[in-house]
Amino acid sequence: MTTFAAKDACQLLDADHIAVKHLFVDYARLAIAADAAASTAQRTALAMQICEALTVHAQIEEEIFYPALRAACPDAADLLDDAAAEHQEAKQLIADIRSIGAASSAIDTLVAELNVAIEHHVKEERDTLFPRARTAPNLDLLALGQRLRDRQQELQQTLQRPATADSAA
Amino acid sequence: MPKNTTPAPRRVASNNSAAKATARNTNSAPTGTAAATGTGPAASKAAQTNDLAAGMPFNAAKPAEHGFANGLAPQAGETVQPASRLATGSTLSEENASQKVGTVAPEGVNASIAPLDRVRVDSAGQALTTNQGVKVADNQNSLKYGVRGPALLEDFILREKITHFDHERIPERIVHARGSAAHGYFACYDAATDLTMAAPFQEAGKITPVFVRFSTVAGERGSKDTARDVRGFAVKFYTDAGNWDLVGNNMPVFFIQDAMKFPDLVHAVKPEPHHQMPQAASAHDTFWDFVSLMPESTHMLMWVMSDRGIPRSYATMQGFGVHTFRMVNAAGVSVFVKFHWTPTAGTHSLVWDEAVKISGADPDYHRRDLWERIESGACPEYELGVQVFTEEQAGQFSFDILDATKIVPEELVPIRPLGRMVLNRNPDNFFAETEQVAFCTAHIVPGIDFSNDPLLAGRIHSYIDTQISRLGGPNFHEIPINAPIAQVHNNQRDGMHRQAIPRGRVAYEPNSLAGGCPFQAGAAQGFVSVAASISAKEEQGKVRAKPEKFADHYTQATLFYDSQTPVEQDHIANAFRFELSKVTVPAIRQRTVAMLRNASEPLAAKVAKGLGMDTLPEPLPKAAVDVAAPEVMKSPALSLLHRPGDGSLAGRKVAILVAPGVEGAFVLAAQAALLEQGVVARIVGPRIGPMPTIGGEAVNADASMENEPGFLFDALILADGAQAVATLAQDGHTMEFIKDQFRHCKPILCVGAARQLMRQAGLPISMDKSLAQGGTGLIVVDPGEGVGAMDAFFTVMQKHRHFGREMDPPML
Repeated sequence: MTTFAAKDACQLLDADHIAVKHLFVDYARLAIAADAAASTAQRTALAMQICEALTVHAQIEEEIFYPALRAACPDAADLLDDAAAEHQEAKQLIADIRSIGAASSAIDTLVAELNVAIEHHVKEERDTLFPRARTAPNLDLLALGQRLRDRQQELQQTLQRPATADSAA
Repeated sequence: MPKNTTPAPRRVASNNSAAKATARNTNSAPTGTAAATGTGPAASKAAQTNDLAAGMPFNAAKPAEHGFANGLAPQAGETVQPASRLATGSTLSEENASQKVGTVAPEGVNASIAPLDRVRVDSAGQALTTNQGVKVADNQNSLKYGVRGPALLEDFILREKITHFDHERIPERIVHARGSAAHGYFACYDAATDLTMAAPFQEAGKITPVFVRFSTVAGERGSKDTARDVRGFAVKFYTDAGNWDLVGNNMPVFFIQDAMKFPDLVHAVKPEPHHQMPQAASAHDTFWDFVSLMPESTHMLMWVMSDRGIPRSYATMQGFGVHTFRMVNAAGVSVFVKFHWTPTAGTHSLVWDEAVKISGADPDYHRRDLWERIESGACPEYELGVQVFTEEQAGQFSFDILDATKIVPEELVPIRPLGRMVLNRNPDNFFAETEQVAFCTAHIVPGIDFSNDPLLAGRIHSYIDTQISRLGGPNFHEIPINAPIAQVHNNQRDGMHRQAIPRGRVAYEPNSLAGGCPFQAGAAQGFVSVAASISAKEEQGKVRAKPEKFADHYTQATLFYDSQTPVEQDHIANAFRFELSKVTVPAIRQRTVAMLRNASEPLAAKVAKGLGMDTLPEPLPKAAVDVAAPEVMKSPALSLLHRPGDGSLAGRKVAILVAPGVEGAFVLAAQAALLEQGVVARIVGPRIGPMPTIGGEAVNADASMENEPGFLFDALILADGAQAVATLAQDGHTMEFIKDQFRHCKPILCVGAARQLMRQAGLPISMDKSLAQGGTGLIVVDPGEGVGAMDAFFTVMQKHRHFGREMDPPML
């Protein structure tokens, strides 16, 4: 696994945002192409990669980042409630994508919807939550970043383990 | 002296002085023909003229002028062969040739349509002259009485020079004033005679010369190229059946449905009349006031606010005929068509921040790009295709094909390719060619015809009308660039600046005195309008109203927005945000967002949020509530990313940043590799000129960061070299250069020590995960690995832009 420079919580979450946006852009480029049929396997893989990345991202936000922020900034509760609601919307889309499984025009539409939803979520976090976090008193973003990273690696390994076992078998 | 090639035959002279006298008069003549008994040229001419007239004892074509059936198949006009050319000449004295007057007009020829060589001027080895051809001895001083004395009124040389200068300008085009053009050719793929008898499509491989002018619409003649605007895409086909102008745009729809609104639209978008601002911009009150009261503009607004409003190059944008036209085959069978030009290089655009910056550093960006592509052999190419459908099919569509705010989705009617256009020659002279070219939608040829689109109808009038004013009279068709390559013969005469010298005394038809010539061509050869019946459920009379389906203002706006990729949707929303933020009247902003709600709620919400509107206004009431269900809900062809192009990088520009102490071997190798791909690789330094290199290679910067800022390039290479990096690191231009490349999502290749520059420019630490994942368009390699990374660099360049790193607001 690639090792990355130490980041604070906002930087770490933003790294996820930027990385998944790249996947969305790649997906959209393939899906809109005249020869979209030729990229079905590639799009399926991308869709699953997006779902996995966002699942882990949402989970570490919900387990670690949001509670920490809720504690440090009691007046950010409304923003965090909105963020949680957006996660629910994204989770539903992820579930829908996974249930279809292979890339198709139906998945293309769902991935685009997920893209738009995440875009909105990312903008909210970047525009409102991160500045709150960065200015919150008594919030150690570096330590929080380390916790997020540890948990993220743990979840990624859990997700990848069955696949590794399959290929080994 | 030129040779007198075709002397008119003459009869032998005799001594019949009475007949001679009669024949020499230009008025009054005896009963019978004096020349019947007389001899000599005048008498011969009179006799032949009488024979010619007598050959047409009555107008035999007259009965055929009547009735519908005759109207569909007009007969060719009657002609009579004169005994000799004597009868049809203007004057007996045409036999007297001179260096100026030349000889006799060649028979049946309009010599003014010869290739442009006839008017080309090259002054090599020539002395300076006046316009009258008088050699000018002194072009430095006006004529004075004594060296310190008064200037003299008699100085005809000064006066001619100043007078001409004073009248150099002509009125600019009211719209599409800012433009650039090129010559080229259209090559037919296969004969499309089943569709049309139009000359360019009659046989495989047939070549038709073209002149193509691209333009913005709103800005004045000297305005910036990269304004957000629709682009004109006007093609003049010099066919062997006459000129055909396909006067299109880079967007297939328009703001309005009826030419009655054209002046209103243009007045609204032009600089506001009180203070004449803003130039070449739609982001102002009057434009948005008008369009938000004209909801039929919603679809077009989507196109203009999309990245199609800011193309990367004229070579990377589509073209469209906009209106529905007809094609007619030789059997007279007509079908409806929509014209599409598809660029071989793919559809690529700028991003808004980039377009704004370019308009400052290089307002001639698209003009320069077109010129340089052609000069370097990276000739712009487009495929012409048509969507073909019958009147019956059109009647079944959910939209009206006469409505210029509607497309025919490609998923409903696919495009049939007809041929390929290549632009391979720049004009010799901008004014003589690009400025004086006169495109007119009315210019069609047999095989092409109009639909009843009411916007097209107004354009058929407007273009010719405006050329008369702009080019100074009705003879603009004789200006060399406008002259057809087909023969031109008619009885239109005189007017300002007439060039042609018609031989003979006949300027009317029917005539017998010119043997009936030029004669009406008839249906077999001439243009015959399609006898389109006007479909109406009930009897209709003269009326000022639109068909009911024109009232569906939003369905295709929704189709366009929903067919874009999310990144493209972001750009549309951001463009609306930008434009509306410039509006000073909040009610206009509100009304526009209210209109957008009818097209797309997510779009309206996003725009409203960007404008700080806490609550969305109620949607605008719709002109039609019950609209037909659309056939197509999503059309990938509407996305720019649908057409990545043939993968060629030709015509792109790459900056290689250098400073003293750069790794010269890599710089030269990279430049050579890029040139091999047809890419223009410029060596850009803190200053222009030679740069000392590590290995002593001669590296000569041909641009500086000051004179060619980063946003003018499609991609960037940061070369290695510790001292060069140190120099660049202390130059503020470097950081702007890199930031813009990054912000505009362009490829960057960074070698060795140069990664310090990326860090210093502010490349966020959060990019590291994406860099490891790949697909960022950023290639960072270790020292010595630059050359090996060039292939990867070409691959990322093919993607044009890497929107994965695009955040709103931007990260850098």
